[in-house]
Amino acid sequence: MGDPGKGILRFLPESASVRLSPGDTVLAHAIRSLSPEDLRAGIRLACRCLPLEGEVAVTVLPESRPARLSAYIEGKEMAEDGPFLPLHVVPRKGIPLGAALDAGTSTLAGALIDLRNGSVLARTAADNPQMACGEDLISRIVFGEENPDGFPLLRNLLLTGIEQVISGLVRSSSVEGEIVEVSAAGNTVISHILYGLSPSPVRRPPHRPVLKEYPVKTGKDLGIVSAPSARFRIFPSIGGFVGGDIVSGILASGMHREEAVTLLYDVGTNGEVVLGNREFRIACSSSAGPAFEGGEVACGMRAYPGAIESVRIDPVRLTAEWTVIGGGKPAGVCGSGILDLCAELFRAGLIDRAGRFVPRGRAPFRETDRGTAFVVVRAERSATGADIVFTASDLKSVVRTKAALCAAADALLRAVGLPRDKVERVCIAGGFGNFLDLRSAQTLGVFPPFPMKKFVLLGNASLAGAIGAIRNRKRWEEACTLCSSTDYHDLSSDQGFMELYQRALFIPHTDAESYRGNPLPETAT
Amino acid sequence: MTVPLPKQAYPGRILPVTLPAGPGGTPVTVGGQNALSLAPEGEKPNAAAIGMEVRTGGGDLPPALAKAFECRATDPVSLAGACANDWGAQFLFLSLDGCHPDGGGQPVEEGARIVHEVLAAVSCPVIVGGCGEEETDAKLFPAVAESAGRPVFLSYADEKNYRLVGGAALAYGHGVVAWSPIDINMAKQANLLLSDLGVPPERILIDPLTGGLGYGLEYTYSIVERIRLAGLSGDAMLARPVLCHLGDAWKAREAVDASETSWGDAVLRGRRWEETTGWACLAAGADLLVFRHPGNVEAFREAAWR
Repeated sequence: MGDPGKGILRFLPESASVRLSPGDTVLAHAIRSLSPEDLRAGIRLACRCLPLEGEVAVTVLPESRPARLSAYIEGKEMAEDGPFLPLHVVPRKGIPLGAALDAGTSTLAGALIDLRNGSVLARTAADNPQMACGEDLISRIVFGEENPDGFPLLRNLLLTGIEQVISGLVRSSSVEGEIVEVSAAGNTVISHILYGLSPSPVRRPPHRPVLKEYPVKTGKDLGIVSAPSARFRIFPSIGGFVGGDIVSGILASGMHREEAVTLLYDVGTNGEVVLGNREFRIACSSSAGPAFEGGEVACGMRAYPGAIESVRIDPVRLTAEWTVIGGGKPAGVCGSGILDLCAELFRAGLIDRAGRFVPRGRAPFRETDRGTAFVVVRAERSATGADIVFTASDLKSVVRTKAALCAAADALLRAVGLPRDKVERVCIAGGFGNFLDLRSAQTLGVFPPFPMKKFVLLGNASLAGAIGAIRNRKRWEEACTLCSSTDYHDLSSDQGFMELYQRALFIPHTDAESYRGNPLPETAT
Repeated sequence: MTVPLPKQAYPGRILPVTLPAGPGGTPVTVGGQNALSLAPEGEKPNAAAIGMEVRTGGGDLPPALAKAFECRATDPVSLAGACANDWGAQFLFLSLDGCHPDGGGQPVEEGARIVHEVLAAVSCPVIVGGCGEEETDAKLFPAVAESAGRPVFLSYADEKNYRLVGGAALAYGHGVVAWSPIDINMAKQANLLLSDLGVPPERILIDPLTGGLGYGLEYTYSIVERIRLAGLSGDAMLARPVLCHLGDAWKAREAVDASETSWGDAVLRGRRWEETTGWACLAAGADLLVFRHPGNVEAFREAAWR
């Protein structure tokens, strides 16, 4: 933002920290995620800075390195063998290509498909530039409403990101051709913005979107320069908070074609849950919060190199051991690491069932301005030069997130009157889903107590579903019917949800007997 | 032809809990039943126990209590003696609210001394309640646990302070009252936390927070009943005796306000307000009831539902 002629500050990945001088302006609410040491050293979040005047020198700190793309683009795909989408537009040169897009709140991922045989030619991912206008969807809608030209700006940012993904796909593909078909799966807000509609109604009761199905438009109509003649198929939405990304996830899970009852979790910024089979489907949004995406947690970061991805607590010395994505010194902890950390702290008896720290022995706890904190990495071993700490308020938001996820599934089961044992498969989708340690998840009670063998990790199911829809016309038609055949269950008006949530606000669960198979914490002495 | 009455059989049984007495006193045992309180079936070996509250802080007494206590109101030790010996309380609930910074601000040592003296003056079981102020209670409970000459119950432990209260109880052999704010799940959570700490189940009572008549009593009724049903259905963490402290009935304006003459005699009204709250709790399944009015103790001891 700012004057493009003067400002040389560019959008950087979400957790990139930059050193600015002079005249740096930081929005007050962004400061929370930086430590006081960082602020004193003049470090600011690039995505939250506006250069006001003069030239700005930007230094990208070492921990803000390129993304670990695989986390966001890998997904189990359906084996499909056509018929492929009808080619309405004959390419002027080269071979016909299709692009599948997953337009996420924080990440845009894409895959390039050869429409002759359905093979995936390239994959890429980029950060959603809208992150500069708010981490979650609601704050982006607020940004759009409160700023003149807010929504056009949000749309331009999204288009910039999509252009970046598409040109990245074309660049890295070995096959010359023209993109004639695009399928885009995104949540309702992003889909509305992409389609040029105001997402404002989603924010207010009764949270209904302007459109649930988006008639096909060409790239030229939407303003996408890199694929002007492509037909854009935007996945339909189920409700205000259950969007096309979930429809695409259902498609990838295949639950709508099977007799077996499947529970589908999309553990993203919001945490949507779908229950169903080929007879019925019911979906809800758990408003779980982004703790497992590294958000709302002081030491949290996305799954980039330098992020701690798994943690073990030494039962005797009570200190943390970890593995870092890409090796080297850690800069923060990503979702799977946060999950591991909490589970290990619980097993070591350093967290009680109520989600409170229990300092004991020589465990490395210290007081911070955000409450008691467990020191995961000491300053001398961290890439930032400051302690990486996990605070009491971080722990609270993890427990709230896990309670919302667990209670959402129970609420759906209760709504349709099914017992837990009728669920035959539990699919976990989302970037986090690829690297999740199920044992840790069940120690904390992130999901209801299903046997381990029922879990299937789908990875980025939203992208996988979008690829499926490009490869097979029938899949796209299924997606179009899914939005009307899947019921939306509003948890905010569900009378029993708060009680289920309160039950789940405990580790692993107030209904501890159901989790008996899980490892118990070593008793504190 | 006689039609047999259907009888409900539950798989669980409420754990019997004994509140220990001093030399020459009668211990109080509650629990042990395997049916709901008003149902005709099942075994109910112990009737509900009726206790009285003694407060250490000064402050204005409601008209009904001022009349009943007469001159004993200011001295907790002599009031405790009257409760146990004259008015028939089976146990005492000694609230150290005098240590609250807003309620007199007695030093912690003074609170512990009063506990010591009351324990010497009466032989019935005693439950000692904190002042309700987090920082003061953090010092008060360990001091009380240490200075109490015989086993008492400490009230209360919730999910925040359970380590402190449970730890003090474990170290000196006392029992614990597990408190939760009218929420069956939080009631179970508090019990799970105390169990994790190693407090034996036969030394835990459940206090589900009792709202006074017109001030949340119906919520309490429902939660007490649900706790009991869960316990009888086999949830061991909730199969424990429930204590209903009727102090909230005295917070109702209707129970204390003497200026509203059209409401009738404030002395009688206050007593009836507490009594009505008490009957509801007893019907819901409470095992221990804590009154403030001596007249109500007599009424309930005579009823002695089983």
